[in-house]
Amino acid sequence: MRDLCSTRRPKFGTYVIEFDTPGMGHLCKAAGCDFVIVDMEHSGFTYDQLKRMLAHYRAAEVPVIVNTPVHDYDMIARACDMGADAIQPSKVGSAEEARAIIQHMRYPPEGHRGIALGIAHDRYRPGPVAEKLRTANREVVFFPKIETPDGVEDVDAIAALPDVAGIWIGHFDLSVGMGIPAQFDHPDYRAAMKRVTSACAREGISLGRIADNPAIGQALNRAGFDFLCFSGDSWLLHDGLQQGINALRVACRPKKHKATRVGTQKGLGTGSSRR
Amino acid sequence: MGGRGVAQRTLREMVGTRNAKIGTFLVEFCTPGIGHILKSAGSDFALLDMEHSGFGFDTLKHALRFMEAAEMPTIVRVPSRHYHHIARALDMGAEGVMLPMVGSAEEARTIVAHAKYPPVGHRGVALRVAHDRYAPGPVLEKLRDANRRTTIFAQIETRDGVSEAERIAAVDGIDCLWIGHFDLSASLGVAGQFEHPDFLAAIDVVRKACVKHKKSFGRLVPDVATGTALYRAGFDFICYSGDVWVLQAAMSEGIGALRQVCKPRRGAG
Repeated sequence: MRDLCSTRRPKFGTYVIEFDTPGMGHLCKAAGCDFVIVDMEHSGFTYDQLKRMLAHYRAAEVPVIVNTPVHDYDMIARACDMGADAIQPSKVGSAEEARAIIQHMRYPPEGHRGIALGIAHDRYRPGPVAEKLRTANREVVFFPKIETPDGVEDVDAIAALPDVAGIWIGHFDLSVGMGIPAQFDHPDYRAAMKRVTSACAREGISLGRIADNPAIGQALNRAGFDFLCFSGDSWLLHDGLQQGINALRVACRPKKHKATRVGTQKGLGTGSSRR
Repeated sequence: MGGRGVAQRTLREMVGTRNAKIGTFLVEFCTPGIGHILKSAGSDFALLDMEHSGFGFDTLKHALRFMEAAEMPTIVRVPSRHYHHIARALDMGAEGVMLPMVGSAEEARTIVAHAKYPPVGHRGVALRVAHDRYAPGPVLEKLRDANRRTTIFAQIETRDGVSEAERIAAVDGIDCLWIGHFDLSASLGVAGQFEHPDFLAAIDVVRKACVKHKKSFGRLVPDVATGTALYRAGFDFICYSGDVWVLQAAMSEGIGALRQVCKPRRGAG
């Protein structure tokens, strides 16, 4: 994850909000994902599920950004203990809030994360303690999610914090908070994005957002986003299935006969008699 | 929203009709949302695999509630033809069971006996559990209704199954012959050669058996073109792709497209 944040090359992933099953890591890897985001705010996933999911993704070497609904110590530090590669707390509104979250994520001397070793986050391995703490402090990535006008207001200070590897934009909530719901072409929204992209460019840090489709992703990339989260698990399955089923439904309409019992339809075999 | 599905709401109403029933195969995602996702995407049925997926009965019991919540008829492909797999899947609330590798009419009759209550068969009686939605009611009526509701899909995927197809289709209680195309091609010695004359001849034998005995005829299809061709060739249960493959295809298509058009950002770092 740290490597992904160290370049401005585009990174592609997807959003996980429904499927917590063992195959997801390998499936996402084979489909070309560089990362996934696991949603803990809206999905209903518990930490028990999160721990399993992190193991599934680790098996496939897909880094996981864990979105946490709140900034509490127990939410942040526990996600780190289970092996989150990055933490993306919702609604970060100020540099002060961001600093408090960083404290929860970092072992002393940088922060006050409680120490447990030989568990999920260090892959259950033994090893020298001081080195482990240093490694964890360096490797676990902080991705504050900005999705309120406050957050945009303070984005320069947030982006300047040494532990902020990138900014994540929650575009729906931000537009709602600005009083222009889903109006992503509104001048106010554009001005807000301009502030955020400038701050990230100045600090040389990453910038990410969900892209519902490749066209939106391309536009975001041009605007300065390098973490592009393509759609999400349940939406991709739904739309892919709908597309196939609709096409079959059209192609498999009964031709001359209404729905009749198998066998009573004359000429049922003609289509295949030549096969 | 999805296209309009078939008018039939239950597997019992679907079997034996010529119109296309289009569904999908589940080998991975038995999460709470899956029923609603399939329903909204336009699926007529789900085929839930227990033979290769690793799903256990605990998962199945949850999954069937997720499907009921969205009124999504579900066929459960059980791991074997053993009584304890068939009867337990039905007790969990499956209204359709699919049996792998059915090779003779005698096997088919045994399967029907496992799946139906007396006097038709010898399924053990447990009432006010999942299959009758925990509701009270007159016992004999419940047994009769369950026997009527339960549908049986016999997989033809061996050379024996093909040569016995006509007698299998004739068995009362068998509602559909389902081609297991990979295993059948392997059994015929033409693994993966679905256009081979021997394979096509075998399919034709099974199709004729279904026509003669007014039974449904089904198969998994990997894509729309195959599904369309097979519907025209006489199949009426068309099981389109599967949960992991549809998701993976959609994901790699989108990410592949993004990779083509997105460039490294200028600036520091």
